[in-house]
Amino acid sequence: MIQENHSLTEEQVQHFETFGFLVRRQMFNTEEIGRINEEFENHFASIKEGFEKNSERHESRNWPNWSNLIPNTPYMANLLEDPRICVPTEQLQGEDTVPVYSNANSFRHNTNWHPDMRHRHIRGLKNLVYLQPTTGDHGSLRLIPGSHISPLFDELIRIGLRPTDKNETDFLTESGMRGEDIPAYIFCSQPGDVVTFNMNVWHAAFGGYEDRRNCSFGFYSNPKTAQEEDELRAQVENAKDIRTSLKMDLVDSQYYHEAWLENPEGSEKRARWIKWLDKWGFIKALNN
Amino acid sequence: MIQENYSLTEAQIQHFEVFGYLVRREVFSPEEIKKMNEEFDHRLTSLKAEADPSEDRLFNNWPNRNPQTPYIASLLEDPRIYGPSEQLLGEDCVPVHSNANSYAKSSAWHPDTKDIHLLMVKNVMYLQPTTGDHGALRVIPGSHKNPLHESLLRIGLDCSFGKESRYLKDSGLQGEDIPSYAFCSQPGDLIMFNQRLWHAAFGGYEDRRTCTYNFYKNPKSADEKESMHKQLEITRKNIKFLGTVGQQYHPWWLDNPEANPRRERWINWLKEWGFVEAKNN
Repeated sequence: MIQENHSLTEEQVQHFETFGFLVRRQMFNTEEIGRINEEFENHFASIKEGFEKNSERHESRNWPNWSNLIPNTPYMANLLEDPRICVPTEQLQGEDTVPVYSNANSFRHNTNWHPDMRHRHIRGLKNLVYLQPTTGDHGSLRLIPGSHISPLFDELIRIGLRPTDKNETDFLTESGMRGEDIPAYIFCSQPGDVVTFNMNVWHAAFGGYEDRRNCSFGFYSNPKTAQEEDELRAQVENAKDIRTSLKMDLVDSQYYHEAWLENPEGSEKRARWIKWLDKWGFIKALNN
Repeated sequence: MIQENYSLTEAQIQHFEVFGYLVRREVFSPEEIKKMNEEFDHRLTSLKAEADPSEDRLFNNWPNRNPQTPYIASLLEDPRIYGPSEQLLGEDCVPVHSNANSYAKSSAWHPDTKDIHLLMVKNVMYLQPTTGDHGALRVIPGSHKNPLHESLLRIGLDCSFGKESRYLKDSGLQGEDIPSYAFCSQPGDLIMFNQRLWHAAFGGYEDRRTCTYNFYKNPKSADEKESMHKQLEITRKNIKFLGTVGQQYHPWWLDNPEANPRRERWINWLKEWGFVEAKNN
């Protein structure tokens, strides 16, 4: 049920709040997905060789990923301001929510169970667009409904569902279960579908394959309380490690590219975002 | 992972506690399932002859503890059923309810109980293969606990007793669209779930069969005891609504001819709490 101005219905908001995620089908048409894929391919081709060399050197298990906010991918960069992305996000997190991340990912393997954020007061929300069809055994995102809220959120940590540094999962090892056996909603999708989820929701993907593609648009809520401010500062500290931990391929560029920061069309929304990202230190953390 | 003595592993107990259910595969053999289906067939045929045709019943269902289905009745005392139930609820838990069901359609979203002080586990066996669009039980993992349990009530998902779901109507969603785990099963597989867990089944069909074995935790605290008294009253109403044919505790079963001490304890408890009087009259 898509409303004309792309705002969510009351029931969609309830779904997001109750289960921690929301699926919207066919938000982008075939031509738009074609354009995203074209930009994705062109940029990926320009960084692939460097990524492979770097991976061999560091024996990395990571995947090629980069910021969308670069001149090579102008259509993808502008999607943050597309009402299909920003309107529902503002409805769910407040009009003063800010996009902190906008990434393209070319995964190579499965993604084990994890929440993106462990902080519980500051709110993070991710919009994901998969650029290829997905099914349960072919790369679909899986989400554990309601796992953004405790007790379920904490219990999944307690039983050891989160992979250790060695990428092993205690609960799966001890139970003899596979990641696929953990009960979850499977987001079987066609290109153009969007899933929006609370970053506290536990998620995973199995049936991974070479060049499994998605674009993600991650927003944080504007902190209101001292606790939220503390958590946001901690997120800024985490952000400093992101370039290193994800080995992002920014080809001598910066996460928030100067072309994006210049805001050539004078978007008021982007100007507000940039001011906020600068104030809280994300630009410094991710661009250095 | 079935252990030789049928006891649950620590990881299985954690799974049950965290997600509110546990699946155990191939607990019963094809021969055992065949025996159950044969008894089921005979009882369903005789029940159709017995039942009052003017009575509008939701679906054909009858208590397992009757002399026409001795093998199905005996499963309450099978360690594959009572062993794991006792592990989850305590050794003094009691099988209060055990029915055979022949559904004619889908089952909409509902929990069996909303009471936070009752701990009740339902063991369900499907006697035919099931898939997501062919009668599989669906459960919303973790929905036995608050706040998720109550959030689902608040948004209006509940379809108990034939109610229409306000949430599905207003959202335009189908019951199948609600995020859940679908227990795709083969006969012999078994699912145990906390009866506060929200569940449903879609892709229903004529004579969709289950056998259920419901154990209640023996109440200890004042709140638990009060809730058990309330449950007794709910039971009286449900029998009429569900159109269960026959006595839940047949005299044949209450006679306990083999003097099974476990059954003896169960019978004493069921009498003491008033379930024999409530469910047999």
